[in-house]
Amino acid sequence: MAKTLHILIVEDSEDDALLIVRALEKDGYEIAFKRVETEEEMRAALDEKKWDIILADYKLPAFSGMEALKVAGGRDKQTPFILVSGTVGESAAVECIKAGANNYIIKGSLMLLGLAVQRAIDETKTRKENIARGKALMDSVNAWDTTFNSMNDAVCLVDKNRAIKICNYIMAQMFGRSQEDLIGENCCNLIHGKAMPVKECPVTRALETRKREIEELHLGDKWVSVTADPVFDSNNEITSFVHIVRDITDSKTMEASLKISEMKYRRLFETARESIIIIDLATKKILDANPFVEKLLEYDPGKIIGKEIFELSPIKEIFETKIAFKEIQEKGFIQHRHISLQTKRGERIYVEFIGKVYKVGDRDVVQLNIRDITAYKKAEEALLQSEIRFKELFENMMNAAAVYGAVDDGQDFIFREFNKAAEGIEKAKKGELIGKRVTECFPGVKEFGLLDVLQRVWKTGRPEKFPAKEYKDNRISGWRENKVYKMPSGEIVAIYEDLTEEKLTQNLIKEKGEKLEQALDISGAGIWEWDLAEGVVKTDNRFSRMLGYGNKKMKINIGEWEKVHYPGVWDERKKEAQEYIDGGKRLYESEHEVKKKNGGSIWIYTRGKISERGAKDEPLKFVGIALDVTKRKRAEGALAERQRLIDQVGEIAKIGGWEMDLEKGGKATWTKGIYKIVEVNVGEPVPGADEHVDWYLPEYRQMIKEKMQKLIKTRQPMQFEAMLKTKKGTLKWCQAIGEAVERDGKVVKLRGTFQDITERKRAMDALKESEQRFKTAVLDSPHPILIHAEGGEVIQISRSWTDIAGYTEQDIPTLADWTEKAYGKKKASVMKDIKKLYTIKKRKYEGEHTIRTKDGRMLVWEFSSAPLGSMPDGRRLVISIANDVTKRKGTEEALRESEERFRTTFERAADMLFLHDQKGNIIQVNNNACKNLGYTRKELGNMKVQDIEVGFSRKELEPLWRRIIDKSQIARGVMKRKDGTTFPVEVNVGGFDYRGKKLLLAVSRDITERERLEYAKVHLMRDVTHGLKTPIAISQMALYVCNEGLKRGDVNEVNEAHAIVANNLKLLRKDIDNILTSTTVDMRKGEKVSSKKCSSLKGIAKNMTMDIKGALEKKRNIEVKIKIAPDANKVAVAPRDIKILLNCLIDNAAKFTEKGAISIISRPKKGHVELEVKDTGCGISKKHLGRIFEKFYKRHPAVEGTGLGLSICKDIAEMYNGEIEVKSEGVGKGTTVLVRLPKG
Amino acid sequence: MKNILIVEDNVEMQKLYKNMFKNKQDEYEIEIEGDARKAFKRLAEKDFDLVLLDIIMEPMDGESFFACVRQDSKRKNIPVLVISVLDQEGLDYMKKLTKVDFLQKPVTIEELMKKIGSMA
Repeated sequence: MAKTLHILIVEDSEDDALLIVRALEKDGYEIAFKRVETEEEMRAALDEKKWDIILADYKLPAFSGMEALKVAGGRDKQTPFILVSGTVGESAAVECIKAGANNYIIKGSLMLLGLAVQRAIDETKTRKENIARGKALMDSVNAWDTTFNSMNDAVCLVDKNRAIKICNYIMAQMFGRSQEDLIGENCCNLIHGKAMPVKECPVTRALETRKREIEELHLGDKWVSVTADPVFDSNNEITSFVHIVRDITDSKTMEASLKISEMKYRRLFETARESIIIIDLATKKILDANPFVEKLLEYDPGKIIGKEIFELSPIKEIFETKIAFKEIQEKGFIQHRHISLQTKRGERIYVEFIGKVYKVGDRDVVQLNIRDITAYKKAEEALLQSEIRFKELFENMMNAAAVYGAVDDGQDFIFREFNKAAEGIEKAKKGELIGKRVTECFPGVKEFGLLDVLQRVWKTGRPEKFPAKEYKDNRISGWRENKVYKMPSGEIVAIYEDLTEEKLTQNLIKEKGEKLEQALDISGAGIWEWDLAEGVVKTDNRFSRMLGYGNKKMKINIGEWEKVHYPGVWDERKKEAQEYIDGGKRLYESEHEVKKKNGGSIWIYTRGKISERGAKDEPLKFVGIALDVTKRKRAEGALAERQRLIDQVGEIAKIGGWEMDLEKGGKATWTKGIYKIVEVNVGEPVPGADEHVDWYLPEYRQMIKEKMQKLIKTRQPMQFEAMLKTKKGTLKWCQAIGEAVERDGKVVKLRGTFQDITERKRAMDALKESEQRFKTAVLDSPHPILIHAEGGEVIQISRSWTDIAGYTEQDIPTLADWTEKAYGKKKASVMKDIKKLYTIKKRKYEGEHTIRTKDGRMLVWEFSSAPLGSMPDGRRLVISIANDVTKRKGTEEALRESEERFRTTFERAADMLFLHDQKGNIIQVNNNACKNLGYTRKELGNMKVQDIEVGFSRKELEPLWRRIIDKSQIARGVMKRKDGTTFPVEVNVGGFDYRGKKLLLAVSRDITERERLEYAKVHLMRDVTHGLKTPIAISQMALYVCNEGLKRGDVNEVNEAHAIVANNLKLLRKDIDNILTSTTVDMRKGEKVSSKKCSSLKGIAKNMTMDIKGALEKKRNIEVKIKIAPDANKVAVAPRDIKILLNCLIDNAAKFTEKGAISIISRPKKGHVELEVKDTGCGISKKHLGRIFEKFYKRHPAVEGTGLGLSICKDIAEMYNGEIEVKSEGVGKGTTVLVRLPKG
Repeated sequence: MKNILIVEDNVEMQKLYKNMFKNKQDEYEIEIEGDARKAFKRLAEKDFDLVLLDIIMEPMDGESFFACVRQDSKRKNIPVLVISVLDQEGLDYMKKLTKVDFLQKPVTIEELMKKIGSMA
């Protein structure tokens, strides 16, 4: 046991304490302990440190083990406590354990102490853990409960078969159903409407991977993120999944557009062929640099970021860089500034840069577009140096040199330069010659032949050698040998030698050999003699000097000669000599490089000839002179180099030089570079100023002309950028820089450079555009957007952020400011959440937050954040997008309220309510609807309106519903109950906006009662009045006709009219009788009558039928049968009432019978008399049978009579506790009326 | 000579109409039909200048007859004069009888002739 055990021993005996310690040490513990005796000591010890265990004696002089336990605080204090005592009894020990001690040990068995201590410590530790775990569990349960339903995402728990076990409020809302309702639903079916899971279903994946799977799905026109989180049981088996569905449509769209913009910007930034550096204007630190820069300056990726721009400059040029930077700070931009930078290894790089300041968030940054012009600069520098060298050389070379400028279109030339050597040869001062024509200064030049050469070289550009020839004019004469070149500037250079002395020397050799030495001395030439026979080369003092041997004659073995002076090239030299020896040439002549003895080399010009030949004319000696032409050679080389450099520079920089001769009407010359840029073949005529200006696009022409005029006028250098169209039609951005060349205070020439800057322009434009797009996407987003960097700096906020919340960028420079202002007390927890955002890899939904606006309003914003890469300094960026859902929240609240109101009203309405869609699918019904129709709520939920509304056809209903979407309409319909019966309804249908769907709310009212009343009202009036009025009207009209008849004396007509009147009066009287009877009976209704007087049916029936019997039988062929049973003759009904009853029944029978018989039968039945009146007439249809006893009810209004007869009969029968019943087999099958009356 | 179709199921009324038109034989030729269904057929067979129509009849009533006439493309323009014991209010209950020429029974010969004169 390596760990030290800290024990607090409460013990009065030092020895006992040591015993305890020893016992524990024996068990392998390393012990650190403190012994205390009193309560104060113990408390002090407890305060002092945390003990691993407390061991206490049960009995102490000033203290007790129990008290010590109290001080230690029992088990809850989390320090194990063991009682150690020699005297402790069983009961005291139990008491101690109860009070919270972990164990007790008798001093006699201290060997058990080690085990007890270990157990007590373990126990305490476990207990501590359990408490913590329990608390965590409780917390999580509480948290779950409260958050689950208030979550803004749809969340559900599904089992392995994807059946929903629990779901939250939002989920239920998503599908317009209740939470309980969704339980048991298959989530595939619910979300996708499919029985099988969709192929991207994260649950499928999670089943395999056994971890959280997230998928973004397209559902209809929405994007949702669906999470499936497996839940494991104790066997580590997946039991269910937490399934979260989140609407991410808005952010998805936003994210996509941002990504595109950023990607575009980034891609351009990364791939631009130019170097781009972004610098913070204030700190001058580099914020970003594209790979091009890193490559250029040889930094590892990302390593350049954070450096100060000056760190990249060579020390000598820091000042220059600072000036340039200051200029940017002041002006906001800088153009075409050349500075130099230094690579990591310290190599100097020349760059040209264009800088522009723009804002990123609240700070200014400079974007520097940098072009590496090192090659160009180096070339330029080399050129400059070579120029200097050249000048020096030119001036000091031994050869004569003249520089000519062409005039008169290359017909004549003027002197530009004339070196010292030339001055000496021509015996003329430079000052006298410069600017003068060659033909003027040297009138013999044409005859001499040089003018032709100059003209040719000027025209063709090809260098030419003009061999030695004698020049002669009045002033001067002499042998000259010229080499003529054309320089890139167009100037002609002639390098020449005065060969007069050599010529003289040659003559001298011929004439006076002894004067040779002298002559050679004067000419500066060395002499060599190659003794072919001996195989040695002899050199004179001068040549020896040239070759580095000192001022002495030498005799060198030919082998050594070859090795020292012509290593590797001797064959070439020999070949040259051989050509001469073989007789091809008059004179041996060569210009070549000779190595000096001690390194280095010189160029010599040498000539020679065979001086001795043998008997067979074989050459024996070869003699010649050698001139040191090194300096001239070098000058030539410098010229060639200069030309090459200019071409190379032009190539690299896409730059060319131009010159415009104002004295020659603006005639221009170009270097190759310009030809290339403007896509014209080299050598083609160069256009004049005006024509050239026309190459530019029209909008630039005026500007260019003005710039050139200004240049001529002010002599201030000009510079412009413009777009031109080449002969081949290519559009190019070009930059021209020009300066004036003055002579004698007059501008004679313009010259400058011309550069193709198309690529740069294009890159800059594209960059600007991408930047703009990105900015626009952020700045003008309708969503409040805040881009922030790790550490809390607010990089950018969108305008809508300010518009909605009122905070400007100045208000919230950091997230601390933002949270302080917007969240108040909650800022700490919000900040904590924000800090976590910098590690997210994907878009994260952060939920709704209540924020305080600048003017104190509270808004609800829904946040989501996404990573946005890193700042140049490595700080991670996060874009947080908010969605102001305040209104939605309010609306949601209002919606919930109105929903509640609607539901209550809906349920409590007295009418039947149906909520259905435009196809008639019933969505909701109220209790009354169910009750009235006899269906359950569930049954109706699966039905269509068309199933219950039978008053309209399907074809009528749907157009009706479409029409009434915005205006309600009342219609009469008929509804069918579950049992098949129907009832009339009045339906008020109105369009109804329900959760964004256009639904219809049909308020239906059963109008059976109303319809019955209405019917009664209308028909009473119609039928009754018709019944009464018709006889009157007919009588009256008959009287009018009668009058006419009387006037005309038409007896027939009069008689007919009389008969009509009589008949109608009879009908009228019957009707009135009926009405009166009905009224009387009506008044007596309710009083139960038991008649004292009995009536004899037989007598009454006979008497009554006698009246009508004859007439009926005669007229209509109807037989009347009376069959009264003897025991059913007397009835306890007043005769008056029986008369009325029978009268009505017989009258009815007669009215509806055309032929056959009317039978009046009576029979005894169950102590009653059953009276039957039966006819063979038209019968009564089922439809009318039910209503036949209603007052005024008639089969048809056209039927004669009042429709009161049967109602009177019923009233009478009921008055005597009797019954009445009408039977008919149907239309045409006769009618039977049965009346049961009390026996008399 | 105008042709008049009288649709009236009451036999006594039929007699009265006959007598009322007895003296107008040079002006009007009348045809009386007691069954409105048959009367509707007659309209197709012969051109009538006017129909006198009773309302409460069996089996087809005047209201249905009128509706049939007005819905029939060939016959819809025939003038119809309703003669019924119903008053205006009673008539109003019948929805199909809108904008109809109407006389209430009893009607005098002069009244009838005057009305017929204005219509036929």
